[in-house]
Amino acid sequence: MSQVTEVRGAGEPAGAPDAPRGKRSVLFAVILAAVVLGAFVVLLVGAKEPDSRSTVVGKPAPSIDRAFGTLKGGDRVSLADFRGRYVVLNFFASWCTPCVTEHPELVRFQKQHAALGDATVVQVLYSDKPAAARQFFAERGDGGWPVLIDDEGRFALDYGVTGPPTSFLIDPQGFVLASVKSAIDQAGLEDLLNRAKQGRP
Amino acid sequence: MNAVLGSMGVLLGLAGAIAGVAALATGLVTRKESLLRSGTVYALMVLAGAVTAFAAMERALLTHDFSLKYVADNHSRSTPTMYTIASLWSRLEGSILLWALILAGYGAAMAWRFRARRGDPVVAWATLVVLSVSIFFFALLAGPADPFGTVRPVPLNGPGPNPLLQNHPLMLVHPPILYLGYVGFTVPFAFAIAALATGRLGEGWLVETRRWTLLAWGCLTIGIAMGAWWSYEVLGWGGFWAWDPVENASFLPWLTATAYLHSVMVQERRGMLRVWNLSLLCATFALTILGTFLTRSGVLESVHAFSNSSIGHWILAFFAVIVVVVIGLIGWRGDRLRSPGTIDSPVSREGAFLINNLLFAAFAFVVLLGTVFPLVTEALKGDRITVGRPYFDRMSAPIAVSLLFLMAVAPVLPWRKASAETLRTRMQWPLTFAVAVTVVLAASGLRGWLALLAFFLGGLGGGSAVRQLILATRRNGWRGLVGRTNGGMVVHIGVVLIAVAFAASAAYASRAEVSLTEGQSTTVGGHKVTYLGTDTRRFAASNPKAAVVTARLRVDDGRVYVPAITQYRTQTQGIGTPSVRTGLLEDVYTTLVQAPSEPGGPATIGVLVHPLTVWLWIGAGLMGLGTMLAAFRVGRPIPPVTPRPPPPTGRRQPERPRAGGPKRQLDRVPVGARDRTLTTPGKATP
Amino acid sequence: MRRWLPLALLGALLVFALALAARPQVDHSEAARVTRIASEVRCPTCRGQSAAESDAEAATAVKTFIRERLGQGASDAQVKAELADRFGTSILLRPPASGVSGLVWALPVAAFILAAGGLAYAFWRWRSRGLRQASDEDVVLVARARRTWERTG
Repeated sequence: MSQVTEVRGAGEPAGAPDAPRGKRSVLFAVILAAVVLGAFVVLLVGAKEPDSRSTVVGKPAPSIDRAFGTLKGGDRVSLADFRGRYVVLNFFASWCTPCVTEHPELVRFQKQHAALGDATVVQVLYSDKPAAARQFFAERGDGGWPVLIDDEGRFALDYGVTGPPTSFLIDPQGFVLASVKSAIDQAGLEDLLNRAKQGRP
Repeated sequence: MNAVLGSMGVLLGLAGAIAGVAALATGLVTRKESLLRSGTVYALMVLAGAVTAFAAMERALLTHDFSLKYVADNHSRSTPTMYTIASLWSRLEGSILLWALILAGYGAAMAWRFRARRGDPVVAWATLVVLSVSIFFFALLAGPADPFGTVRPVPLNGPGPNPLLQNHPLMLVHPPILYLGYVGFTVPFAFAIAALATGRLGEGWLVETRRWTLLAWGCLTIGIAMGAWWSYEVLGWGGFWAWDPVENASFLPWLTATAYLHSVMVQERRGMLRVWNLSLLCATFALTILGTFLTRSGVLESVHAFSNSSIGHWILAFFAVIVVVVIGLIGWRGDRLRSPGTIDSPVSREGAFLINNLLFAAFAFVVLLGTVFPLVTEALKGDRITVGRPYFDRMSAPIAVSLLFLMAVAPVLPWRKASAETLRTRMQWPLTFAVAVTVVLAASGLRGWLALLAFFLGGLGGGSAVRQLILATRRNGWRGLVGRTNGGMVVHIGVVLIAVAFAASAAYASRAEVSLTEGQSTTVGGHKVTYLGTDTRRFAASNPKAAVVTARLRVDDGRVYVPAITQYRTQTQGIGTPSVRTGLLEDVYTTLVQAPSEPGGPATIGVLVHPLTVWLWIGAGLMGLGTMLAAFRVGRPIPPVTPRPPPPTGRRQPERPRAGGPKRQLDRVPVGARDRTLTTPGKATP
Repeated sequence: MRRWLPLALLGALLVFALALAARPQVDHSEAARVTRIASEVRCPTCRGQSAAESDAEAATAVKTFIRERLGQGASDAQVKAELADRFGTSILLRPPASGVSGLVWALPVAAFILAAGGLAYAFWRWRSRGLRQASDEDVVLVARARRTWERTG
């Protein structure tokens, strides 16, 4: 046994744990780990605000003429009907909680601007059943704006909607000015509208 | 009452863990054995706390105690008892509670298993590490993930657990078994840290934790397979593996653990790869924590969802601590970890293990990178990209094929160096079998070279595993089926079955979605499916289910299958339940995509013909069985770590100055012997 | 050499079988093309699931769109680009190979080549070191150690 250790001692210098070499490698390893982890944390915490602007912004608003009908059984609605007015096109569903929160805000916005005649809300039912939506309006109040039943998700696809609620501001010439991928409130909508009127995107 | 009891349990566990760490740390510093011996008591105290908290939560669920917020959110009076029990782990807080319970169980089991060596610093350090990890999880339960918060006023009923989680009995067993796997790696990790801390870095700790590692690995394997099965049986999309972040989070530690199980044999035999094995084991543990972070902090939905979740910061901080501690310790012990051994040839068992490790590490890297890459681009550029199935399929296919090839060849390779002649004789029968399989399949009209290559390699791997088992059982009777090598071969056969089933399903599945009126039929993949009509069942208002629409489909003029859509009151989107005709060769998987809008109208039916799916589950079962067989020890301990006469092969060799047998002995003996005599004086060979 | 003949035969047989199986069998029917494209596009409302696998309304809309555009003579790449234009590149399940996201493809390959090179270098070094190391002194020591063992053990 002792001979064996002797051989090892001769061939390989036995490393003492506190040799300077060891110290340096600790320092190196810990610094490396700290740098990698630090970068990860900085990446997570200091992340840029994601660019959530929809790609339809700045383009002519895709048509919504092919609707399966409106919720109230009325005629089809075309964006052309609203030329000369700003349109807030809002995709919603009765099952989505933020949609419930933003509903009274939309009602207030609509009440104000229906009187002024400069803007209106148009809603598209997203991935939902008309019956459920009718109940939604019966319970939470009807803003009086047209509600379209999507052509099997085609409108949502044309507008690149990934989930409700998503709103688009369309200018009187039929161009998409802005998109919002979360619940909006009246103040936010007014701000968007004012900026649009002053020509500031 | 339940809230108080549960919180007390959590506090007891937390107090026990903190006190245990303090006592053990003091004992280790002052070298007081009496303090080291107290570790067991603290481990049991933590277990008592965890059991109390767990029992309180189950009791609250079973007695409809809606004063607990967790119960109010996840339970309803009409939830069946089985799913009520399972709803404990249906959300974040409850799953942390389950984690804590299993961790406490492992801690106590470890303390019990090593009770005879309580005074040994290695055991004390390991207990200290497990208790430190316990502090973290109990602190989560006491603070940011408190499951015992209460609500006022107390609701009379709740919405019940997520509909998807009350659809299949697998939900009762899948999470606990998966967690047994995840958490189980804490024990070998604790011993690895103990070895680093005490400097007893030989093979002793490897041998001691061998079965713990196997247990954790086996449970993780079965847990992942059950998740795949659940996905297949419940989710209705017709697949079993989607490269979803949650799946990836469980697959990552599996990959590194599998690499470790292989490379550890090189260390036991040759005393090499010490740093690598420690790193793999610690990486496995760290990846279980990272996986929890990725799936539980919301970071994958968006970086900004993470900023709002406090638990995410905690887990990330814990992960950082683990990484820094591990790297620091390995760096500190760097000199003692250097091993002088050499590997003579890549065409040898140990060479194959190294290549295996390279492939598994590459696999883990691909999966990790693919999972976190969207985060990186989102953080850097502000826009998200998706790294989805096509990426993972594309990147993993070559790795999987290489691994399959290695799995076929490695078991027949001898240690040290293989000659072409050895390879030829040993591979003869597996190769003949595999070529025969491929030729027959190609002749019978199967197309697609990747799938056939996979079948060929499957035949080769299966052939060489069966060859090994036949040789072993011929020599040792039934004992030829147990032990590490033979159990490992059973695992390999399981892997082959899974690989073949995967390849078949990727190449030969056919899917169709058709709108049918009553009495109409369609043919998919050679199977005729006739739509007979639907039945609708409505439920009382107190039931979370509103209605179940069931379609009746006759498959191949035989039995009727009944896929359904369940409408829950809380969700507008219905939940589909597939109905599957399981067969040895193929499954006919039917779903009701869209119920008829008016009675008697057309319904949209999804039909998927999935080849060999049942072999996935059989393969996973074999992997579990093989793991158990591998845990048995036959005869004397496999790793020879004490000085003993050179093996007979060495004696037959002429004594020439080659770096062969004698050198191997010289390399390994000193460290292994020293360690072995220190840790287990009783077991040292005469 | 005679002993290697069966092996060569088996190899030839295998190559023949694989070559036979490798005959292209890409299905050019429209339904197959729709499924192929849809399986590379994320279902807009789901997480990670492809449009081919999902039954959600948005996924159905994507499939209908693909069918429609293919019917109008669009190419596969065109359809995917149009979808990416609507929903952003995150709709594509396969990350593009250019720009920053090209890293996700390149990094594993680079890392693998580095690691494989390192391993090959290690094998090469072991080989040369193993041959050089056993000096005469070693041999003597080994023999002595062995004798000790054989006497005691």
